[in-house]
Amino acid sequence: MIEPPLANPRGRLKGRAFLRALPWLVLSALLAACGGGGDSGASSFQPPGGGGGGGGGGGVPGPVTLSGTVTYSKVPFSATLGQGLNFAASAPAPVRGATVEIVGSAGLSVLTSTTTNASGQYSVSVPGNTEVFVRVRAELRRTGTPAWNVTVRDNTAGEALYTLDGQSFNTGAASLTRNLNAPTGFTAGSGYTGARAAAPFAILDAVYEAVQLVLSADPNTSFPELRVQWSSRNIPCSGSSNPSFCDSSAAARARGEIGTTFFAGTSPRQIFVLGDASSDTDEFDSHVIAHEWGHYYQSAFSRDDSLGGEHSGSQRLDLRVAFSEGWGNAFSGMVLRDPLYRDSFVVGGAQQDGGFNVENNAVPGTAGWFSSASVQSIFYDLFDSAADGVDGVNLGFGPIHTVMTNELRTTRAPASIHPLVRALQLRQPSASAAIGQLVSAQQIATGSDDFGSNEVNAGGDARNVPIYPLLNTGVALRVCSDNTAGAYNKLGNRRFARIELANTNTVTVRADIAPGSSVAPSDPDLLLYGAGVLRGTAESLGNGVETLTVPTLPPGSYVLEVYEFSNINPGGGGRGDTCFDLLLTLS
Amino acid sequence: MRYVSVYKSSMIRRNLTGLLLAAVVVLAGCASGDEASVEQRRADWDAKKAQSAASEKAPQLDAMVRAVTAGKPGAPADLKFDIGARPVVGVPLPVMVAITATSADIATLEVVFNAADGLQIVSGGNSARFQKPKSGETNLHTVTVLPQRDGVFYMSAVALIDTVSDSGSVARTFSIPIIVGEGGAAELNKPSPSVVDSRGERLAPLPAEESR
Repeated sequence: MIEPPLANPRGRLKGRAFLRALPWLVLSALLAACGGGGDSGASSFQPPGGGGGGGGGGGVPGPVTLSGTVTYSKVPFSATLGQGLNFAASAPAPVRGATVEIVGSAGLSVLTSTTTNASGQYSVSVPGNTEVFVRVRAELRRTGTPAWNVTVRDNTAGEALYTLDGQSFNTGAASLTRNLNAPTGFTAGSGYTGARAAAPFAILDAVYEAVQLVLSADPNTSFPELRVQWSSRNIPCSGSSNPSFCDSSAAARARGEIGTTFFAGTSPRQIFVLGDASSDTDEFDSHVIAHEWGHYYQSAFSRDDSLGGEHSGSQRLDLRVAFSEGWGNAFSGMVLRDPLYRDSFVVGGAQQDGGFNVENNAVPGTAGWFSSASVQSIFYDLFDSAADGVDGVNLGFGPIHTVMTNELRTTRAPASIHPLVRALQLRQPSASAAIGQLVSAQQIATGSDDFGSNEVNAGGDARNVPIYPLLNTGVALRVCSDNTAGAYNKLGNRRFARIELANTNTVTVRADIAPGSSVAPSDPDLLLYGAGVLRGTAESLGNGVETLTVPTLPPGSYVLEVYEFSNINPGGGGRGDTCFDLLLTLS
Repeated sequence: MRYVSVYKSSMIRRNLTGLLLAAVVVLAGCASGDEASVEQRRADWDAKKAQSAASEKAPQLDAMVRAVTAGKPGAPADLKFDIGARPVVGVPLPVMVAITATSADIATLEVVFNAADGLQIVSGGNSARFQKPKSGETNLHTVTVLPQRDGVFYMSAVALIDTVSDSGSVARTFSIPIIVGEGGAAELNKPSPSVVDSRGERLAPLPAEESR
C-alpha cells in the first residue's frame, strides 16, 4: 500500500508569512525540478535581486546563510577482542558527502540542497523568514566525473530512503546554524529504546571510505548505482520447514529475512545488511560493510566468478570462491587501514565479536590457492607497508586496482589467485621476486600461467592438480567430483578441464560415469566458460551420462566445469567420490 | 497467517517430516559409519530427484549456481529449524533445530540459544555443544519455549566454532521467528513505516538530535 503524501507535521505558513514566502516557494520548486545538488560544494541557489545577509522586514525577505555540521554517533569496538561493540564509547563522527536538503515546512518542497564536506559541514543560502527544516539524506550522489550514486534504504518499507530530519524553524533575518546528529537509539542497560538513526549513516560512511580508496587510484571513476538495504528487522536465518521462510525471494527480503549481510549483483547492485538487535547487527561493523563493497567493486570494475555460498577461512574452497572472499576480506582492511576484521554479534543479550587478522601470514594446514585466508593474506601484504614475515612488498592500492580492472577482468582462466599474481609480477618487475616470496609462503606456485599449470599444492587430494587438465579430442580424460571438503562451493565438488580451440568449432563434450565409480545412478553436469562467461550448460537429469554441445565457439581457451550434482547440494546427501570420463569432439 | 497456514498444509507436513527424517538418517549414519545409512541417504536423494521433472532442475540450479550472493564470512555451520506446533500463549512449544557442521576443521561447535522478551526457554537448555563434528554431519537439538503473549518473537541461535587450525574465529547467527496468534502473523507481514514526500519519493525519516 502506498501511504498518502506526508501531511505537514511542522506547522503551516499562514496569512502574510505565506504571501512573503510565496515567491521563494515558486522559485524553489523550479530549482528542485532542475535537479539541484549533485556536485559537492555549496548550493548554487541564489535569490533573485541579490541582497545578501540580513533582510526580512516587509516584502520579499532577503537570503540568510544556514550552516552546520552533520554527525552520526559512531560505535567503536571494545578494545578487548571478543567483547563486541562498546556503546559507552560512542562519539560523533562526520557524515561525509551526504546530501543535505532544506525543506520548506509549508509545502514540504525542497528549497535548496547541498552536500556535506569531509568534515560533515554544510552551508547554504536560504530565503529569510521562512519555516524550514534540515533533512539529510542517507545518500552519496555526484554527477559528472567522477560520479557515484549510493543510497541506504529500508527493504522492509518499500525501499524507502532513510533521512535524518531536524526540527522546523524560522530562518529569520540573520545567519544561523543547525547541527544535526544521528543518535544510535541505544540506552545503557536497556538496549535499543529509540530510533536507530545512526545506522544508515554508519553504513554510508564505510561506503564513503571505500569510494575514496578507489578514487585514490583512479580519480575519474564512475561508480554504478548501489543500494544498501538495511532494516532493524533484517534477521540472520537459514531455513525451516516453511519453504518460504528465508528463501531468498523478494517477499522474504521485504520481511527482513535476508539470511546474512551480503552483496547481490542485481540491477541496480545491492548490499543487504543485518540489523536484528537480538542477534546480529552489522551497521557498525565497518569491515563487514567494506567486505561486501569489495564484492560490489568486483562486479562493477573487475570480475567475480565466485559461486557465492557459505564460506570461512578454515575451509578448502572452490578457488573462485576463495579468491573472491579473500579479496573481500583484504579489501576491507585496505579501506579502513586496519587488518583486524571484526564482526559483532549478540549472545544472550551481551555483545561479542569474532574475526581474524588479514595480516596473518600463517594459515596452518590449509594454505593454498583454495584458501580465502591465503588470498587475503597475499592481497593485504601486497597493499600494506608493514614488513612482517616474508612481506617485503608495499605496492599500495593503485597497482592492485590496475590488475583487478584489466588482466583479472579479461583472463581466460577463472578469476583466481594465479592470474592475479602473474599479472602483478609482469607489471611490477622490481617487486616480482618479493611478490613471489609472499605467494610461495602461502604454498601457491609462482612463475605460472593464468591457469596455474605448475601448481603442485593438491589440497589433500592429488586429483586437484593440475587444476585445469587439458582435454584433447579423442582422448578420454577422467575427472572426479567429491565432497570431502564439504558441499556446493568446496574444493573438489567441481573439477575443471581446459579446452584449447585453434579454430572456430562446435564443441561437444560427453561425460560418462567411470566404470566402478561409486554407486549408480549418478548425475554429471557440465558447464563451459570462456573468460568467465558461461557459454553452455548441460544439466539434465541424466543417469550417469551428460552431453554438452556448444556451437560455433571462436578460437581460444575455455574452461569446462564438471560436477556430480548431489555433491553440490548444500542440503547434504551427496554421493561423494564420483568419477567421470570426458570425451571431446570438435566439428 | 502465513506461518499459521503452514501447519495446515499436508504437503508441507510431508516436507517437514522428510527434513527431520533426513536429519536423523544423517545423524545415524555419521554416528555409526554404517554403510546402509549412507545408502539410505543416497536413496533419499535419488527419490527426491526422481520426483523432480527435468524442467524443474534448471530453475533449481539457477537458484543454487547462478543467483550468486556473496555473504560475509561466518562460522562453518548451518542451522535449520522446525516448529512442532502452532504457537499458542501459555502452551510449551518444541523448536527442533538441525545443526550441520560444514568444515572438517572444527574442534568444537557450540550453539547458544537465547529467547527474546515474550518467550521463555523452559527445556532443552541454553546451548548445545558438539565435539569434533564431521563435515556434513547433522546434529539434532530441541529447545522448548513458552510463548507469553501474542506477537512475533525471535529466538536467536549463535553458532560458535573453535577450529582445529586456530585460523581465526567467526560466529554465525540465526534468528528463529515464533509467530504467536493472529496478531503476530499480521505483524510479520506489515511493512515498516514510511512516508511519501511531495516529489513522490518514499522516505523513512529518522529524528535528529539538533543543536544550534
